[in-house]
Parts: sequence; structure tokens; C-alpha cells
Amino acid sequence: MADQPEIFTFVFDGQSVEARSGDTVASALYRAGRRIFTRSFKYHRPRGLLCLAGKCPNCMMNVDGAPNVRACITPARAGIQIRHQNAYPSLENDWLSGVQRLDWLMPVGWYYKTMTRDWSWHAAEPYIRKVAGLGIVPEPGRGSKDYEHAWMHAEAAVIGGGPAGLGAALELAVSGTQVVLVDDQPELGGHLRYRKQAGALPDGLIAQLRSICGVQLLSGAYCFGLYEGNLLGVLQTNPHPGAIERLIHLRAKKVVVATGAYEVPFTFENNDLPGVMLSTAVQRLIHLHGIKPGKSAVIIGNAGQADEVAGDLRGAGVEVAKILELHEVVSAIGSSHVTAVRSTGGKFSCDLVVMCGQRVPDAGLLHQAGGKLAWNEQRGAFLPVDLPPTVSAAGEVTGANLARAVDLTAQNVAFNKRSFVCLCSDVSTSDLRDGISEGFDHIETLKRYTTLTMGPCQGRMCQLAGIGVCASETGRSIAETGVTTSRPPNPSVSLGALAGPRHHPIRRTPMHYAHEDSGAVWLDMGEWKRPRYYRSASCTSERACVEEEYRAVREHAGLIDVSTLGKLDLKGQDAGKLLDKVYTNRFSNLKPWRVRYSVLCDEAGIILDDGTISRLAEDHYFITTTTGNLDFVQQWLEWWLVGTGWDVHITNVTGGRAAVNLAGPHARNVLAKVTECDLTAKAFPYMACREAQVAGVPSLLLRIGFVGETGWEIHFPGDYGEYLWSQLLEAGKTFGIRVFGVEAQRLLRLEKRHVIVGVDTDALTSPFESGMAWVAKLDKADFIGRNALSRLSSAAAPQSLVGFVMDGHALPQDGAAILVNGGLTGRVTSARYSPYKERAVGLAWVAAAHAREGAEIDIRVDGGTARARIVPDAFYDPAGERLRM
Amino acid sequence: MMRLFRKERMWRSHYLKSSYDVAIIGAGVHGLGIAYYLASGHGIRNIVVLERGYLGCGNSGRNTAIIRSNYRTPEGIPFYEESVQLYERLSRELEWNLLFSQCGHLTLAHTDSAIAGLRVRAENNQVLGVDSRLIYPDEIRRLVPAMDLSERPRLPVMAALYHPPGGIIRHDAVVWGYARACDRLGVEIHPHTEVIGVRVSRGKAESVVTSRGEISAGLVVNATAGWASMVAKLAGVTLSIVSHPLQACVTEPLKPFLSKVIVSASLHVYVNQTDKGELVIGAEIDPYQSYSLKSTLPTLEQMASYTLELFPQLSGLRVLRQWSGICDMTPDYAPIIGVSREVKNYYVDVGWGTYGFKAAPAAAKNLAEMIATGKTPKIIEAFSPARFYGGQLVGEKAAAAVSS
Repeated sequence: MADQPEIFTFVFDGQSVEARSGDTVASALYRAGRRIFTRSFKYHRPRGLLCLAGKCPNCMMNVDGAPNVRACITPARAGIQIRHQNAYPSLENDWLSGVQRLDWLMPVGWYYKTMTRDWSWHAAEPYIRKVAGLGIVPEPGRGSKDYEHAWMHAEAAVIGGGPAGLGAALELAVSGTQVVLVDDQPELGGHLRYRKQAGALPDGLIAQLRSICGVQLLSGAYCFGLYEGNLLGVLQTNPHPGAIERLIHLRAKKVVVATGAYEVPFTFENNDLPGVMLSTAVQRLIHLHGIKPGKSAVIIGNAGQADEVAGDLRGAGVEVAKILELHEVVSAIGSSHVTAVRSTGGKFSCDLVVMCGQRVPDAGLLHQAGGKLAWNEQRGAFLPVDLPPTVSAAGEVTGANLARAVDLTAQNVAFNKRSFVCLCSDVSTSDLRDGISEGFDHIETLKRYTTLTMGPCQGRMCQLAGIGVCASETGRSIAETGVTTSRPPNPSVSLGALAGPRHHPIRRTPMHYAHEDSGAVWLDMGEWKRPRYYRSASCTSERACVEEEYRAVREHAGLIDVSTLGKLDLKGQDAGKLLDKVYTNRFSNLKPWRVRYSVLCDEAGIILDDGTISRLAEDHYFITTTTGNLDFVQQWLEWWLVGTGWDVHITNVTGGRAAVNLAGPHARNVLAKVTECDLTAKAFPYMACREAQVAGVPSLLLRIGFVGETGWEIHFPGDYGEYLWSQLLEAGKTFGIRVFGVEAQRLLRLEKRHVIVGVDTDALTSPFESGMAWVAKLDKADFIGRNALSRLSSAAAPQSLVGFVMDGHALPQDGAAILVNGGLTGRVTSARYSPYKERAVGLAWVAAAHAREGAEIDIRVDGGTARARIVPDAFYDPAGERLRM
Repeated sequence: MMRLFRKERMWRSHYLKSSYDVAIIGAGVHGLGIAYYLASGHGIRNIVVLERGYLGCGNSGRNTAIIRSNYRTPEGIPFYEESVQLYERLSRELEWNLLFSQCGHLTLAHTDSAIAGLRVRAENNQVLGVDSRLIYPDEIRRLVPAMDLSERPRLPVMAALYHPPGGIIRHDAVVWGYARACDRLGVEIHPHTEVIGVRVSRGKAESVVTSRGEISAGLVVNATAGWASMVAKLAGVTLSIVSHPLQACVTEPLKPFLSKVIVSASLHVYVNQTDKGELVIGAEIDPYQSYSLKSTLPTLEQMASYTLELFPQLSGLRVLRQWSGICDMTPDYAPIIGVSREVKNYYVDVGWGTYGFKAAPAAAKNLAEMIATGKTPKIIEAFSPARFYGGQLVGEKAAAAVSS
């Protein structure tokens, strides 16, 4: 504090508060005279600073709109807006503070034992909800996106920048190990920064560390989890002005946990009053912030730490009124702040009570890593043992320097409704005793019944005292009682940091802007944008636009962008073998320049995807997948390739290729204008493919027909997307060509009864019941799903996918229920108005008993039902003549 | 009022006897529920409930406590509906407030095809008398004003399946309530008593070997979750089950801002705010099979990311802890309830995937009836272990893309 500190102000509850550089929000408020920092969860008791280390729930405030921020570890910055929480209208005058006088009405588990009638619970619950909770959620739209994710690797990670961590890091570094040291304080040094009598760091240690190449120091960063494979979750606050938090995924070969120990409070009556603080908190106020924490103090504790802190207090000008041993203490006295301590030896006035509490190893990370925590009577703490080979501990977290500060097994626990064990949820010693006497005598059930350790402090303040009460009440030893499981994240982590920057890629096809110019109305399909339909001057509704596009395809020619289809290129001697194994259809015998349709099933015979596969050479195939399933199909193929030793190379060419479907009675005429490829039905039959130049662009042409007209699917390099698109439209002008979108395509294919996987099929559909038995080649050698499909081929399917035509003019919605004689017998998967049939037509799952040709079914439409009739064939061109023309 | 201050033991401890009429493995909601309905409804009281850990230490204490009946199939809907109705009466029946909050349950649709999928459920629910309907952004906004309903490129909220009777319950309280009622009826509950073997002779289970000694039993019920197939193996019973972890997390408490249960299949996440103010967030099952209860960072990150898609203003809210449970998945995402084929007095109430908690009362009550009467109640016929031999799978998998 030699330099003149910089002075600035921030705002607390509308009042300006002065702060100095180096202050936290809490230290600045304390210096300004604030003693109540929040109100407790259940009873709205006043609460003041306790730990000053971000480990207790007593200073949670709203900082710049963010709820539940711990003021004691939040650096004060000029201009920030701080508001109190869980009190109305102010911390000093809280309307609900009267609840603390009714605490006798709320014994542990009171809400389970009362309100067992519906009406009483329904009446009470809204009020209970209203008074529960802590911070206020920000307004919608307020969330920040300034979060970052980063990844780091280290030969060794050292967690904790106190003397033990620094020592371990130096030892590793000088032996040539690459080290990352993570420390949660603004400066390195750990407890030596504020425990001045505990010694000092060796001169130049930090400078020496900084000078070694291969050492990286992360200050102001805490480690919240040690996950499988030594993955450390590290959270860095304000890494740079553009980011609030950065989550670092630190993977280390070796982890040294040197997280030290933290101090926990004693339990006695009114131990939660503002002014009752931990000794380390008092030392932090004095040595880190230059604050005189009170006028007159009573210290509770054993000789060692009590004398140390007494020296610190006297040095800061605080009178030490009395040093008491814990067993002498009866209660703290005061209403909104402590005014005295009552002891067996009399009453001592004071405005500060300093608890030299038990120091508890901060061993959560070691517990998460698989280490055990074993009770050590001499240290008065659970110490980490049986650590996995790549994780070690150093310093106070191992129990070094720790001494027992409290005898947990002593039968002198004061059972009192105001002797608090858990500050987060106001759980007292008598609550714990009552819970145990009701049978919740296992530490885990006691935890769940009383909510001990389940609040924002994550058990740091209350776990040890809770175990003590449990042990003494059940007559078991502390070791037998054991600890509750440590779960990450610990300390807690914000959702924003976990989520990271949340970038959402949008995929646009190479022709995207041409569609935009044509008035496309977009449909989101996964990451992709596809034209749903195109606005047109002559149409007033979506249905009219779609019908216009539909007629163009049926009567002239239509062009649709199908670039979003998944496209995989398979090369290698064994490519056919892999396809035979994974797809249900046979591909090893497919002739070059032919195309075959297939589905792909799982082991249970369920259809997972479909698509066409073209053979381009003896060892070369080209697969299309549905838009949404590309990643899955690629992984599935690669999964089944593993271990076979087969010569197959799978390349995903989706992003590099554009694709269009040109279809309609004039499709051939249009295409002929831009290619020299022989398009005659004889030279280029249905289900064939060719490589050819289209408008000078090297393309792959597949003669297939999803929409039921003569047509070609043209795949070509994406760079030519807009060019080829415009060339085809230009060529088609004289033939009445139109662009069409997904909605028209769905209508066109529905008239042909072509199934869309995932729309007309679901997670239980096999090829047999969906009318595609022909696609499962049960006579070929083993393939994925063959066993199940063989069985299904001879079993009677409980339901079938059927086509239906409405009797009247009703239009059912996709998903509508199907009834026969009022009983539920199925559901509509797709239904559209068919301009060809001049009725709504559709596909539906119907119970096998009713799935007969000509059978009548009732479909729910607008709350009523409408009659429909099952038809066996495609609604349009059942013989498929138009496809083959 | 007097009840408030009475300090009674919830359940007593006993010495393990050498023989019981019924031995139930697993003291979660299913095991305790079966014991309760056997004792209260059928007068069978010489029952032992054996538990490896503490009461409710398995999935009964690890689930996200969501209750609903808006399932998809004609088999599933009436079954889960019976469960909801039993839960509605259970606080009163057990004289123990389960804090059942029927706050309403919304399943969101972000795509056209998801809307069609939800419509199937709404339609089937309506035909079968379950309160459930499709609603659109205007109404969603009224019900959940805090949710981001803005137009956005990725996964906009287009519609929701609204199920007013759905809600959340205090899961541990259900375990304790059943346990207390069992104890009052004379059922013995033995925590920290692991089953390590089942002696089978001529197709009949004769005794159960536990870590505290062997007991003979007239009938054995496997009501375990997470390790159901391994427990079944002790008796030589094979189950069509693979086990996957499922993770969840809870945040610090906030003042109430979300009164509905929100589920999004496309976002693989479900969120609700408890009476205490905490947000409980659950994920989809992990994609790999495992018995590890260790949580992972990537799944936590996904849960956070998806939650912020719906509620971006929560970016500063902190996660207090994450945990996982092991889900026993069957091929059709429907449970296995009934008597095993291999051992004629070995019953199973297993394969509960991600939906065991909400089904517990109905499963337990009907299995108790089956055990007591020897007849299979119609409502659980579809879930018989025999269905896997005949290929008669139940169609819930189609709707079970997400766990809640």
C-alpha cells in the first residue's frame, strides 16, 4: 500500500460508494460502513461478510444485472451498478425479516408434513415459490454473449498459486516439464498474502518461475472440475476487455492439486449474525484492503490461530476484548449486528467476533479424480488418500500444517434453531438432530432431507459441521459417517461460460442469392436454408404459389436446388462390399453408370436413411443421403468399416458440390439445349447416370424421379452454382420453366407416394410395413439388420403405411389421428391437397386389420372427423410411365 | 398441526429374517411402491425390500422429477395417465406432501416435422382423454414470458405440445413417503444390504444371497435401475437392455420466473424451476453405453448452451452441480414388467430408460396386482418380457427422442 491508491466510485442501491484500486465490491462496501450484505434464504435473517473468499453465500448481490454474484471476489470497478438481493425494500428494513421469529413453525421437513391435501398445497405453493429463490432473473434479451472457450495442453498442471503450488511448479519447471499453473487469486502467493505471520515466499520465486520458458501462469482463474482423462475445467474471469469469462479446457498428463485449505465457521447460537467472521476474512480485510474491521473484537479459537489473528487485529488498531475457547461460547448477541458474546464466563461486548475455525482441505478436485477422503482425527479433517497415479496433492490440501480446531465428536453441540450449520438454506443444529431422529441418519439422506450442503456454498461451509452432528447423534464415528460426493462444477460456473460463444453456422447453398432474388420464402432444415416456395406476383397465398410451381413441373418443366443432399464419394476395391454390408439393397452387382435406390437399417431393421447410389466405375460409387442425415450416414459407414481392413475411402463432397433437379415433360428439351449428352430414353434410360458437360460445366447426371416426371438430378462443382442455375433457367424460358421449392416437391412426391424418411417413417419403421419390401435383399450375404428383417419379412406387421384419398374436401394436418368406429387406429404422416385428384391425399399408418384396399377410415380434422378411403397405388401415374419417357 | 412437531421415525431398522414371502431388490420408488401396494392392497406383508445403498440412492434420486402422461402410443398413454392420477392422490394417501406441482409441461417444436410429431401425440392424447394440445407462439409467450421466442435462424420456437396436468414433484419425498407407508404396514426395508446372488433350482428362485446373509423367498422381484440386467443375471435371467448414462445439473436459486416444465427434443434439453428457485436442467442420454457415474464437461456445456438458446438472459446464472444416472434402455423405449421366462417366480419391473420415475405408481400397483392375483392387468400386458421373443415392440421410441 505504499503507492497512493486510485479512488473511484460505483453505485450500490442508488448510492455512490467510494472504492480504492485493489478493492472488491465487498471490501469497498465494508469500508463504507455496510455490515448487512444479504438476507438469508428461508428466515430472512441479516447476513454479513463471513469468509471473504467467495466460499460462503453471505455476500451474494446483483452486479450489473447479473444475479447471485459474490461481492467479496468481484473486483470493484468504476461505475458498476450493484443491487442487494432477497430483501424488500432494503437490506436493513426487510418486510420478511419477521419470518425469523416464526422459525419455530418451520421444523425440518415442515413442508412434507403439512399441506397433504390438494387444495392446501395448491393454495400455498405459489406463495412458497414467491418467497424462495435469491437473485432476480435479468429481463429477456439481457444475456451477454461475451464468453470464450479455449483449449490448452500441459505436461503438468498445478492448481493453486500458494507456496505449495509455486514450489511444485518450480520443481517441475526446472526439471524441464512444461507447466501451467492455475490460481484463483488476483495475485500469486496464496494464504501468505494475508497471513503475514505464516511466513513469506522465497525472494524472487515468482520472478524465477516467470522467467522459465515453458511455464504459464494463469492468475484470476479457478479450476472447477477434474474430469476423466485429466481434463481440467478452468474458468478465467475478464481475460481481456472483450470477454467476461473464458473457459479453458486444460488437458494435462499430470495434475498437482495445491488448492490449500479453507476455514469453516463454528456452530453456536446466532453464529450467523453480521460481525461474526472467520479469522482469515478478518486478515484479508486488514492485509489486502487496509481496513480496520471493527473497534472491539472477541476471538474464538485455540491458541495458535487466535494469537496470530489477535496480533493482526491489534496491529490494525482493534481492541481484543477477549479470547475464548469454543466450548466456553454460549451465543452471540445482537439483532442486526453482533453486540456481544455470551460465554460461560460472562458476557463480552464487542462489534466483531472472530472465529478461528477448522481449516478444511479444499480436496474436491481430488475426490472427483477418484481419490478417497479419509478422516484424520489429529488434523480434524478429511484428507485425500488413494489418488490416481497421474494426480498428486501438495501443501495444506494434504493436511500439512492443519490442526484440529474443533472436536466434532464432543457431545456439546448446542442444539438450537438459531445455531446454523447451513447458511445457504438456514439449516440449524436442531434441524439436523430432528432429521436424524426421524430416520434420516445416513449423511446422504440427511443431506437430501434437510438440504444441507445443497445450496450455493456447495457444502463448503456446512459439510464438516453437518458430519459432526450426524456422527454425534447417531453414535457413529466421523470416519463411519463419511462425506457426501463432491460433484463438479465446484466452484460453480456460469451457464454463459459453459456454453461459450454460441456461434450458429448457417449453411447456404451456392444458389442462395439467386433464390433470394426470385422471392424465396425460407425453410430451415438443420443448418441449411432451403426455399420453401417462391413468392409470385400472380399468387396471393402460399398454397397458390405452391400450386403454380406444382403445375409447372407437371405440365412444363421445373428446377429445384437440391444441393443440401448429403453427397459421399466412395472409392476402393471393396466399396461395393461395404455398401452391400450397410445398405439393404445390393450394390456389388450394380453395373457402372447405373443408379439404385436403397434404405439403410439398424440392427433391428429400422430404416435410418435412404438415398440413391450411383456406380461411376468398378471401384467408385457416389452416394446421396437425406439432408439431415449426412453426418450420421458418414459415421455409420466409417463405423462399420473399422476393423474390416477393406480398401474403401469415404469422402464427403457435400460442401463442394451443388445439385439441382430438373423435371417435367419438357426437361429433356431444356437440358438438350445446354448439353451434348445423348438424352434419349434409349441412350440415357431411367436409373442411369452419365458424366457430361452441362453449359460447359463438368457434371454428373442421374436420371431419377422423386417428383414423378422425366428428370435429371445434376451434380456439379459448387463454384458454378449460380451460373448453371441461370443457364438452365435461360434454356427453359421458352418451355415455361419455373423454379420450385420444398413444399411443391413434397406435394409432387406425395402424389407419387414416395416416402420421406423421418416424415413418413419413424424410429420403429422397417421396410416391410412401409411398402418397400423390395429394397431388402434377404438373399444376399449378411448385412446390417438382416436378422431382424428376415424375421419381419415373415411376421405379420401390426400396422402398414397406406395411401388415402379424402371423400370430401377436408384437408387433414400432418399428424392427425385416424379412427375406425371411434377407436384410435393410426395417424396421418403427410397430407396435401392434390391438384391432380382434386382432393386431399396422403400417407398414413393404419392398424393392419384396417389397412385394406378400399377400407374407409375417419381422420380427425378441426376437432371433428372426415371420411377417407384407402387406395393401393400411387395417386399419380401409378405405372411410372412418365418417369421413363 | 400436531403432525408438524411430532418426531416419528420414518422407517425402522430390523434384523434380517431367514425367510420372507416376497423379496424385492431395490428400494427406489418402484421397489418400495410394489411393497406398498402388495401390503396395502393385497394383504401381503411379509416382504423385504433390499437396497445396496441408502433409500432412493439410484435413479429415484437422480431423475429430474418430471411427471406427465402425454405419451404417443395407445399402450403408453393410458398407463402413464394412470400414474399421473395415482400421483395426484398420493400425498393424501401417504399423508406426506410430495410437493406435486402440476404446473404444466411444454414440449417445443423447432421444425415442421417436429410439429407433425407433436400433433400425433396431441391427437392420440385427446382421443384417449389426456389433456394435451398444440399451441403456437402467442400462447407460448403468455405461458412462458421469459423464453426467447424471437425469429432466429437456428431452432426458432414454432409450436409446443402443452400438457397442463404435467409437472414436477419432489422425487426424494416419494421414496420417503412410500418407505414410511411400507414400514407402517409391516414391510421390512433393509438399506446397505446388497444382493450378491439368487439361488435358482429347477426354474424357481429359492433364496436371495445378500451381503448380510441368505434369505429364502417365495418370490423375487427385480425393481432395480441402472444395473437391472446385471442383477437379473444373478438369477440367470437375460434382459434386452443396454445401459447409458444420463446427465443433469442444477443451478443456484433465482426468484420465480419459469412456472412450466420446458422440453425441447431438437435441443436435447429439458428445464424447470423448482419451488426453491433452482433451475434443473437435464440432457439426453449419453451416446455411449457405460456404467460410469462420472459427469462429463462436454455434456454440461451442451446443457448450458441449449438452455441459453431458450433463455439467453440466464448467461450469468451458475451451475452448482452436475450428476448422472444410468438408464436401462430397451429396444423400443418401453419398460419390461412381468414374470421372467427363465425363472417362474422371478418378476421384473425394469428397463425404465428415462421414464421410470413418472411411471412408478402405475407400474408398482399393476405389478403388485399381477403378483397377488397371478393375472396380468391389461394395462401392462404390452410391456411383458415375452414381447421381445415375438417381435411385438411398443412404439414409444418414436416419441422418445428426448428423455422428458
